[in-house]
Amino acid sequence: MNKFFNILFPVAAVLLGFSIGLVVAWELAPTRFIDTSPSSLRIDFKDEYRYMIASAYNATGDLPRAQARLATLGDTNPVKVLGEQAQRMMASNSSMKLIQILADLSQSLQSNPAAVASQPANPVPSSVDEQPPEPSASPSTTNAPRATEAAAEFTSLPESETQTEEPASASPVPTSLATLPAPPKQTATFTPVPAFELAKQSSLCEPSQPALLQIYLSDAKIKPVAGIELIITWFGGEEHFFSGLKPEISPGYADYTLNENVEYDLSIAATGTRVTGLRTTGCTDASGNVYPGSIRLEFKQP
Amino acid sequence: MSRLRWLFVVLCMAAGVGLGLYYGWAISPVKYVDTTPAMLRVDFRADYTLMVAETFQSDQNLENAARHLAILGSEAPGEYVTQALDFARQNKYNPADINLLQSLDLALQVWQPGATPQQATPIATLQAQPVQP
Repeated sequence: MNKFFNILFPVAAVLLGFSIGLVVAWELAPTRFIDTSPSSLRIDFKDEYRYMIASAYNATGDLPRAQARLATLGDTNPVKVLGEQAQRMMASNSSMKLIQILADLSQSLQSNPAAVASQPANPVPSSVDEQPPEPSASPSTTNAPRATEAAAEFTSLPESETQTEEPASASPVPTSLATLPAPPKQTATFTPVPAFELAKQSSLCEPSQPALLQIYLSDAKIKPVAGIELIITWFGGEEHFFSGLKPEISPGYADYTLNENVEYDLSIAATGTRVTGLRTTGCTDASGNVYPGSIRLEFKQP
Repeated sequence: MSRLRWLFVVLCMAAGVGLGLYYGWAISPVKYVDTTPAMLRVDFRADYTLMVAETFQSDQNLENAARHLAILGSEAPGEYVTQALDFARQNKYNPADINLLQSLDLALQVWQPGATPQQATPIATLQAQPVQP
């Protein structure tokens, strides 16, 4: 009996102590994260942060800075995430002007594939590393640009470790990426978009994607064109959407789910190219069930 | 039970507390994944404010700027710009960026929430102070 207590008591004491420690660590005095990074933001705040990145890019035209900022959000595929956000905004009937801002940044990222491809591994544009070290206000302050630090966080640490713990009062405040020289202010100029021509229209029977209007836009060299505003209209309604929001399919791809027995017209906003009389056709699957077919439109610039 | 044995039990308990704290703080700390912008580190907040300033420079829409700054917390929007401006000066931001923040700061100082653009002080009349190199 005595031997039993000799073992049980210490074990029980350790377990009790461990429980007390956990209560303190998780409930009473949890690790406080007050200096978080944008990657830990709630999804709606991330959307807001991402929108501001796009909006600032729209104002300054500074793509490297926009890329460095996007890297702080920790998105593995910024183009895809921008597309998803644009779709969420479309679903919530946001203004097309706001959605266009996201589409413009998405298009710029796609037209700079080298930078996008290097994003997951090293989200900081090389130009950041090329900047001379900024003089520091404090001797303890690192001269590394902030985005470099952010990149290190996102590439080398799991999410839970990307956050700085509270007793970091002495932690160096990194120099912001804002120290990058501002590019010359860009003046918006209107660049006419060459007209698109309908190169091919076909009906598809794909049970996995019924009643889908699939649109592919490409230039004269058959290179997909992103960021083109499309307008679909029907009796009593109209919706706008953009190519390039599903880059995993094609940068020049856009789609829209059609309703059966409704006739649609599709226009390319910038050029006025118009296709009328779009309706789903009936398809039959292997077991004889009828379902609405899809339509594929391929537009090409001459 | 002997006094020595009680001491041993207390020591075991203390070791357990230590292990629990280590596990809870270091190995598996509380994860904050849905944080708010108010919890952002000061340089990220300053950078967000700079994005607002860059947008404001382009569209001159003070209502919009104030709305975007409002997500940073419950203080007046101008307060965040002032904080960002202080941080920018301390950390030797690019003078062009400091000017952008100054312009937004000045505009927000005279901004009347809800005022129509006609009632608001024209932003164009506000001159940012030149930044000392």
